[in-house]
Amino acid sequence: MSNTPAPRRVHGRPSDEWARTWKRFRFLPLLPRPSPAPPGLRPAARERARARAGGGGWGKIAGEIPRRGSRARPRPGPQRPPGRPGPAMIKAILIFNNHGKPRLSKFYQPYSEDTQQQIIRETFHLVSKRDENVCNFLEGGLLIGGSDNKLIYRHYATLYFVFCVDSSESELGILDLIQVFVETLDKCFENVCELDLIFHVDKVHNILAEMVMGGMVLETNMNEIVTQIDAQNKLEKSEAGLAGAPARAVSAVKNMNLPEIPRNINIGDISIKVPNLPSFK
Amino acid sequence: MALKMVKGSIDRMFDKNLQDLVRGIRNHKEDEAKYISQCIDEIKQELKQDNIAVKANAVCKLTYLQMLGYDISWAAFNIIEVMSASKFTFKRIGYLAASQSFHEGTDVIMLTTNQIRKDLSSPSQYDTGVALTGLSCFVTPDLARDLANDIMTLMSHTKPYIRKKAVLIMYKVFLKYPESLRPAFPRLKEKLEDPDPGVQSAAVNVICELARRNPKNYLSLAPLFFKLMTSSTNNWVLIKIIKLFGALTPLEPRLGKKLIEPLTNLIHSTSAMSLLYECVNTVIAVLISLSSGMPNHSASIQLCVQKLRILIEDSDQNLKYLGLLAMSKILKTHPKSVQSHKDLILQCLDDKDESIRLRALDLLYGMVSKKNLMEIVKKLMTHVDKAEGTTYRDELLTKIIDICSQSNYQHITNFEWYISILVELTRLEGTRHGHLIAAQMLDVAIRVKAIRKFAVSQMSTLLDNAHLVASSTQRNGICEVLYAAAWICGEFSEHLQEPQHTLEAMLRPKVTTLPGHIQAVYVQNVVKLYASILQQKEQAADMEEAQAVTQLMVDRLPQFVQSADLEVQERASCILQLVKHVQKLQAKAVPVAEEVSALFAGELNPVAPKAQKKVPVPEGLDLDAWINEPLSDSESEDEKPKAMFHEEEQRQAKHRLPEVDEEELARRREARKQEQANNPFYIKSSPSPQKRYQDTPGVEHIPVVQIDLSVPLKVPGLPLSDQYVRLEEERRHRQRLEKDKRRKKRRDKEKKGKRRHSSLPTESDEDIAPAQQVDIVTEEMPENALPSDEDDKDPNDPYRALDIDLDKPLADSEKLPVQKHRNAENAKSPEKEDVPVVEKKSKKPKKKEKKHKEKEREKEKKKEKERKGEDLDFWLSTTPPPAPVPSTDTLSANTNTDAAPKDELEEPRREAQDGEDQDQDQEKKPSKHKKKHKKEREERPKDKKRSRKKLPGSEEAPGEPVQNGALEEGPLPPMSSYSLLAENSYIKMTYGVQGSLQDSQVTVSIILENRSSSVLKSMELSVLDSLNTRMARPEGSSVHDGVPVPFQLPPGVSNEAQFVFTVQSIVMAQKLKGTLSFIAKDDEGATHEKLDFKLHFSCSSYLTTTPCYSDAFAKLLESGDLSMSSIRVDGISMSFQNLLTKICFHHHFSVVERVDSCASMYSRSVQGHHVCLLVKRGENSVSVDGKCSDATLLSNVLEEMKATLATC
Repeated sequence: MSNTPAPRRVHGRPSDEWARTWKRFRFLPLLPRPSPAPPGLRPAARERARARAGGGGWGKIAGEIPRRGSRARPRPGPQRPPGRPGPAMIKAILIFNNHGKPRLSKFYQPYSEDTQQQIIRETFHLVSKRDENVCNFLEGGLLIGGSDNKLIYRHYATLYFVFCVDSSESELGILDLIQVFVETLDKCFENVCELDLIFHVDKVHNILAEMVMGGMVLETNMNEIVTQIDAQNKLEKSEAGLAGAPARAVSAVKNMNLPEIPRNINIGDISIKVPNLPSFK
Repeated sequence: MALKMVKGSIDRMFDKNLQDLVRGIRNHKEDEAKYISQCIDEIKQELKQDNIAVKANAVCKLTYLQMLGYDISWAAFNIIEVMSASKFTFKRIGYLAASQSFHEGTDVIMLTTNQIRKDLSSPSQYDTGVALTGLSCFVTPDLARDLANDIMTLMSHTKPYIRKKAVLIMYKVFLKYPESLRPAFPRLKEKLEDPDPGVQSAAVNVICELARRNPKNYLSLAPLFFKLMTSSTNNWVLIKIIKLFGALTPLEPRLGKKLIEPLTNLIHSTSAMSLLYECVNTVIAVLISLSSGMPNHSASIQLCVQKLRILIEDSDQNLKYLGLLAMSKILKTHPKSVQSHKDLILQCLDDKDESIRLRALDLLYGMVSKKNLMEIVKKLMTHVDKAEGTTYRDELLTKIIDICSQSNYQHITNFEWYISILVELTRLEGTRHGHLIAAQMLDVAIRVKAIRKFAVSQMSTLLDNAHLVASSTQRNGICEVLYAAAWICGEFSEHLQEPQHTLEAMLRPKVTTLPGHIQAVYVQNVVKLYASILQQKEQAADMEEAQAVTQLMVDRLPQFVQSADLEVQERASCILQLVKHVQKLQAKAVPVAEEVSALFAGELNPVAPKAQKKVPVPEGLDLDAWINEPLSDSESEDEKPKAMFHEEEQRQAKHRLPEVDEEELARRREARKQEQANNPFYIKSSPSPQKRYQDTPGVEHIPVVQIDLSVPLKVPGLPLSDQYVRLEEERRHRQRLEKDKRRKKRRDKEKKGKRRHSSLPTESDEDIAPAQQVDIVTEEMPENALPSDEDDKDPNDPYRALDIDLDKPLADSEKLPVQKHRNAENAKSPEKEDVPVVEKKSKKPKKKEKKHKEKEREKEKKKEKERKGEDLDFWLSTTPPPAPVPSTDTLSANTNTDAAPKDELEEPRREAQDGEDQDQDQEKKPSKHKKKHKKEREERPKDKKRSRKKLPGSEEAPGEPVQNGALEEGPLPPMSSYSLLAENSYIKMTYGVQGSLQDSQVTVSIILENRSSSVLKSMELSVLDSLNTRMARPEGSSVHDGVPVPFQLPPGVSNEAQFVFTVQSIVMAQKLKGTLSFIAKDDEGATHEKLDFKLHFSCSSYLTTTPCYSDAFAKLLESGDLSMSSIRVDGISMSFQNLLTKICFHHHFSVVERVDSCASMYSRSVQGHHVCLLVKRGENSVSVDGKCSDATLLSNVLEEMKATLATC
């Protein structure tokens, strides 16, 4: 795994119409940057709030953090009889985009690949229907069964972050955990956007592993998580050493091409291609 | 070498990495599947290479593909290879892939055990961390068992990063390997007070989750958690603890009282909504557990409701949602306080957020009363009309039905209104809940007699308009109501105003498009209708009309006869023949009505849903017994498969048997009764005197106000429930006036036939009298039904295994298995050799022993619980929580050593010891694991070095504690607890006495050995009971009877028999005289023989080996209510270790702790006396100080011990 810079950081794109559209759909940072960010969002503010609440995190309640967007409407239906309770308190963590493409899936209960896909589809279906400004809780999908379970989700720019949890977790706590997760991603990827998750799903997994282990919350303090991740990255770099250098160089070259490819394909008929852009894999 | 490396890395440059793969997939949108299958082929090639970097890269890509839904289980072995890479970078890739794709069914997972163990003990914390993270996702019972001890060691790792992961993963280990819970729990408890907040949080997390599943075992931790709650500032930890208390309070109401104050303080003070919310939740749980009647808690309830109202009124939808959620919990116990917020909740019904609307609906359920039911349902009905989206509408529909039907239609005052609501609901398009509506219609019509007339009129309208209901396929769900409508019209046809019209409606050709089961009901009820029409016509002597009806039937029924549905076809053709027969009779002018309606005579009563289950099995009936012995094996093979099906076999048997015995008849009768009870079409021969339809019951008691029936019927087709709301108001008003009048007139007289009486002047809920006589027929239950309700437990609940008592001290056997080399001395382990009888014999005695042990354990549990209860009592009764003593080993002063270094020393030693245990275990283990263990053994030599290195230092280390006395230092002669009882030329008897915690009983095991050449039989043991000690005899036998020995002894054979004795006082040794009588039979003949013996019950035999924690032991000693005594024995040459072993063995003690040449030991008598010993080794002497709750017992035990030691 080479330390590839995120594609969006390749500079020199012409600032044409296409690029702007591209940016709008693809490079939308999950956490809006500099000025318009509400004060509750900034790490500094969070830290202060945390300090107020007594150090350990969770000082800021999720309910107070304004949410960004989310779509649509109601869900439910008849509930399947509660399934056998699984061992984990967090049953699954899913990240998918506005079109239901999975960007990360972590199941803390064993499911077959097919079922996993089905769960992702179903969850997307439920979540994407919901309007903006409705609550972030959904009573369980049918597949990750049981009346005990809840879907708790947040919608950031182009991505949905969905946690399926049972009743032993505090709803607001999990909402805050999602926020911590995204902010951690933001720190680790520097201004994170969907593309980071697309190309570095392994890194996202590693970050997640520092927060949630086997379905249980391991760490909620962002600084602690970032410290551990940095230390691991350093270790990784030192292992790669000399041998890693050529590989890094090659991947850097490969990445140079990235923006060219879609541009070359699309440049002729921007107006037609653009609507399709968000749906690409 | 270096060249090769460089070459490898150059090759690698051109391999696809993960980014390339992702990019590639994005560029091949049209033929994604094809592209990916190409990639998988490449990956397969890469996996074949030797270079680990290439492999890791391939596995990394596979992990991505797994997310897209591709099965990667075929690469499991390669994943393990990558896991075992030395570089962290690759290892992490491997573990990630494993955590994503491995599960319990992955067979190669067992290959990982040693790799994981190696990683766990790696010097790099990140190697360990990544292994723990991975393991948490795919831990299996085997892995859990093999690694539990390693993980437990990590719980005391120096790095908090590892500690917290190790603590957290223990939960998974407990789930997979419940045996590990008790050994690991003390350390887990320690971690609650870990200096690192992350570790502490993890420990709280794990214990809370354990406690949530089996709260009662964790009650004793309440003080500790209470302390944490008042001291912790970490909101995450607080939330967990508060949630835990929510689970504990139902078990211990006093805990709730103690909690209320700090919780309300938190509610007032905290600014974090999440914490506030959880506090409110737990206060609610507390209040529920405290139940009602506590005036001073109404303030708390008010506070909660008030806070929740703030949440609900908040603009944040999340808070609103949670507020409603919590409100619904209060509703269950304190409906009044919620009802005052009805406005707010009704407001939430209009919220745009569906989740919130649903929550509000839930709340409505508890808020309805007689007064507001109609109003609320009306509101809901408008929502039904407005609702877009069928799911929400369905939800509304079920809610309406739930609300109305709750607690036996308690809130419904006017059933006509309810019926019209139901009928209105049938207009819903595309609902899936047609059957619900149908069930309600049936239920109401059957159970509320007074409403039948109205119901029938409505149903006939419905049937008439069946085309509206069943027209489009989309409305399929709703046509279920026709099922109910048809049945009601048929069953209660005497109420029909125009039966002939309805009959025609039911015989329309269109009906054949309905689902089969509905048609079947149609057919059946057509006949009921027909019967009642016939009766009417014949009574009116209108023979022509009667024949016309018959003709109609004969004309229309054939359409059903052609039905594809078997049920319909069968019924129709049956009935068609019947009607044709009737036609013939009618042609001869024979009156038939009476006979036809006799087909449907009788009344149907509702049967309780669980009635069948509750039928008690009649005495003497064994449902599992064969009625016919199963066919013997000698019969032809072909029959075998049939025999597999138990039921089938029984049925066959029934057919074959021409005559059946009484029992079988009874059984069949019972079965038939049940069948009839469950068959809605079966007409019961009920003893009720009024079984004819003609006498219509209830008409005369339709009370007070007769509502003009024509009102709803004027609306063509379907009635409107709204009118009822108005009518109902009028009715109530009138009723009120009337009542007032009546009250004025004759205050002393009771109101007319109402169920409820009220003397309140204001109109309360109770005042509203129902419009109909609500004679809700209670559901029938079989006679002497069992009141049991145990059918709710799920035997498969994985948490059940974790229901383990944690306060009980650890037993010696409860150690985590550790894989270690085999210990050579092990074979000489004394315990093993001196019970050869038990060892050699088959499983039978072992089983007995096990059972015995279990019993002991149970008993112990009970006692421990009592003790625990006392501790808790103490805590609960005092206001300031005393600091829980995290007492490390504090045995009386001279054995005290520094806790910290000891911990480290203890580690390797325990491992070594456990190794032995493990080895012993393995011997006994079933073959299932054999293969695996063989492998482990092969690997042991490697481990050997490691553990050897550790061992020598600790072996001689002074001041080092030992867990129990089983450790070997020198060979010890085999010991036996069996001593000679008596012998003669025929037989030799040896015996051993063992205490059991069962009602102060001791078990005497006597080994009888036949030394003669005769067969010994009819052996009988008779003992002369003393006042104190009695033999337990089979019921009904007198004190002087002997107890038969349950076996015979052929020549040269020995066997063991056990006899139980009850003892009253155990402080003194006892002797009992007895005789064994038997018949010795050889070739020459049989002789009657006798052998006298004396049973000696020493005081030690009343002691049972009971393990004890050192801290519990210290507490016991400090308690001060033990009397003390001591002995000293000189001239002892035996090693201290062997000495202890001897004491343990002969006197049933266990070593609590051993430091150098000092040991503390503990035992417990069958009557619960604690016996504590401090054994000190001097130059050539041993001194034993004892403390016991009974002085006599102690001195006797010490006396006996002296005798034992003197032989050393």
